[in-house]
Amino acid sequence: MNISCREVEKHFSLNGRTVRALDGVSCAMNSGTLVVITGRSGSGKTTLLNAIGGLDRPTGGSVLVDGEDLYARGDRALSRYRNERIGFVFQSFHLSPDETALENVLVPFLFARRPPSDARTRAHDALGRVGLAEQIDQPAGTLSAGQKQRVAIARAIVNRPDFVLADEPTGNLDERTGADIVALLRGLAEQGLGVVIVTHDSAISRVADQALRIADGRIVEGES
Amino acid sequence: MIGPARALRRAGHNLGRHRARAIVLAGGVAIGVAMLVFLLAFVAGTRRALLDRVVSSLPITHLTVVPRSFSLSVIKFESPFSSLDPEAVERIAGLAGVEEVLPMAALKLPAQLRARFFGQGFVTDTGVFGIEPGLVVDQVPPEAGFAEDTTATPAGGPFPAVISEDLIDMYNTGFAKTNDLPQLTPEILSGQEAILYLGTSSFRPGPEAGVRAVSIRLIGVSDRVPLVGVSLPRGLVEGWNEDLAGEATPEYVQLTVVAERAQDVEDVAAGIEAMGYEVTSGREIAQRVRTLTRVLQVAFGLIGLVVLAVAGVGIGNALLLSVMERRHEIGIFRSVGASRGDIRLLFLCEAALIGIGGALAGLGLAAAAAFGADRALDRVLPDLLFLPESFFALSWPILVVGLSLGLLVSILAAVPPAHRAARMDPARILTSG
Ligand SMILES: Nc1ncnc2c1ncn2[C@@H]1O[C@H](COP(=O)(O)OP(=O)(O)O)[C@@H](O)[C@H]1O
Ligand SMILES: [Mg+2]
Repeated sequence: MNISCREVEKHFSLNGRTVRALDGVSCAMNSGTLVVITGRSGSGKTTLLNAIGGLDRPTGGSVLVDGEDLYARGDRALSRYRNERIGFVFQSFHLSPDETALENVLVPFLFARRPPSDARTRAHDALGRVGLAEQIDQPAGTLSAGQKQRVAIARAIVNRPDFVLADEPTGNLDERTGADIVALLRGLAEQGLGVVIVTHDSAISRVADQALRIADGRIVEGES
Repeated sequence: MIGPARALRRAGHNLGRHRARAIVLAGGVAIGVAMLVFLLAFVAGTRRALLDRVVSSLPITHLTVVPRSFSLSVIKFESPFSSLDPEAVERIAGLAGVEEVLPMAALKLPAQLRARFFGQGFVTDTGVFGIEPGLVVDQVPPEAGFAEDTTATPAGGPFPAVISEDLIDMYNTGFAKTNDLPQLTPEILSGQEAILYLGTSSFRPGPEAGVRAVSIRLIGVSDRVPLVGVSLPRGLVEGWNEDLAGEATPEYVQLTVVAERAQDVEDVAAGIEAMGYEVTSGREIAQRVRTLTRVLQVAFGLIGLVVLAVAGVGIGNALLLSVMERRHEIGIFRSVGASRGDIRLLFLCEAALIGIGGALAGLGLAAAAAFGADRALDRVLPDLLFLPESFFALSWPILVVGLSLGLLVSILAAVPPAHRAARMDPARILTSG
């Protein structure tokens, strides 16, 4: 799968001022590659990732998925795109703390058009792939930060998406745990997924297949 | 896309996670539904009791006919053209749709009754009425001898007599209480004998020589005979009127007209009214009971609805709060593929489950309250024969109305919060920490 941004703009009006979170971003990314987008806080990384992921409609330009305009479609189609082709990973994990790791991983199937009969097996597999086979029935709230992020990654990959979009996935982790998570994501790209990591930590770009740099809502380095 | 089945299951799961809140919300619905159902069932039960009573004392195929009278405050004129004599009976019996005419005669003389109950004797003035066996045939067992030809009985009796059910109630709640006498029941009374003095009363003592004493035997009670007096077979009373008061042609105080079918009642009533008589039909009284209770039902229904509406506002507010509390979950759901519609459906399903659970609990509560109220009333109210077994009728329609209103109010209350949840911007929720 290929995702391309064409002059993507996202303008917010805040107290009568216009904030240009994205100011004409063009880029392209493919499955099987690890893309790392770096930039300072407030540079527009999260906004770009959400635009790519079908979560936040840009105010200008277009996001093309295999050549088709993603936002030409309605809420239903965008939701299906997020469900079937994208997996999100967030800085603060966004798990339900009182539910088990397995229950958290099963959530995408709740909104699947046709939930597979082997959903639980798939969730087990996904947790196995992130190295949490032992913690399946543990409430997410009782896991360590690194384990939480692994559960989040398992949730992102359980429905076999084409892309995993990770927003500051190491932001709440110590350096070593962060490195493990990056290695895990790197592994996913090697297995054929498209992985996009946005981070303010420019060190992570070293493991990237493709490194982009964003500042003030524009790609300033590595533009394709 | 989540679909209703999965949405309901997930909604149940969510309610389980926030059990205390769910119970409080369902409790509000339960109280509203219970109140509504309790009040409606009370009106329905009262209506049933009243109708039972009306239908028993005046079945819907029956009409009572009396001479038309003009009342000028204290003075009452009876129309001279509308006397109820055998000729009038014949004319009415000839009307289309009339099955039977049952005349009622009254003794034209004063009378007194002497009886002994529980070893105590008492004497009272009394009215004496002559009725057709057909009037009470379903209330007084035929084997009690009411329908038998009394000409074979010796002139002194004993003659079969029927008294009013209401008279027993009046005696039990009034006379017996103030005079410290035991309560009477139809069973105790039946078979009791008494002496009837014809031609005398405490107001108008008759000449010793002209007074005739006959004995009567109580064979049953009825709610279709006059309240103040004893009712005997009509031929007997008519004979006394002829012998003792010199009445040549009988004059009746009332006719009971039985229509062939219930739908004939109105035509028959119109025909008799056209002859110049006053007509009362059981159907008409039943209609009045229905109209009155319908008005009550609407009024009580509105009270229940107001309570339900208050519960609805409570649910709406609580759900709005819960939407704000759970915005992270909403954001996660959206990010893994929930559409706006899915989120809306989830919240509506939660409200629906609260509504159903609350409404079912409310039905149970109403049933329990009705049971309790019946028992309390049973203790408080005097033992009147006409009081119903239960003052409540928890009929299917009322249960269905309670259940669906509970459900409807909950779902309606959840529409604004569900809409709010659906409109939340997931990008904003998920990045705000
Ligand atoms: N919902 C919003 N309303 C107004 N301004 C916003 C909103 N979301 C993001 N912004 C602004 O857009 C810019 C880019 O934000 P973001 O994409 O979150 O940056 P980053 O993830 O690189 O820190 C920032 O200036 C931010 O304040
Ligand atoms: Mg960010």
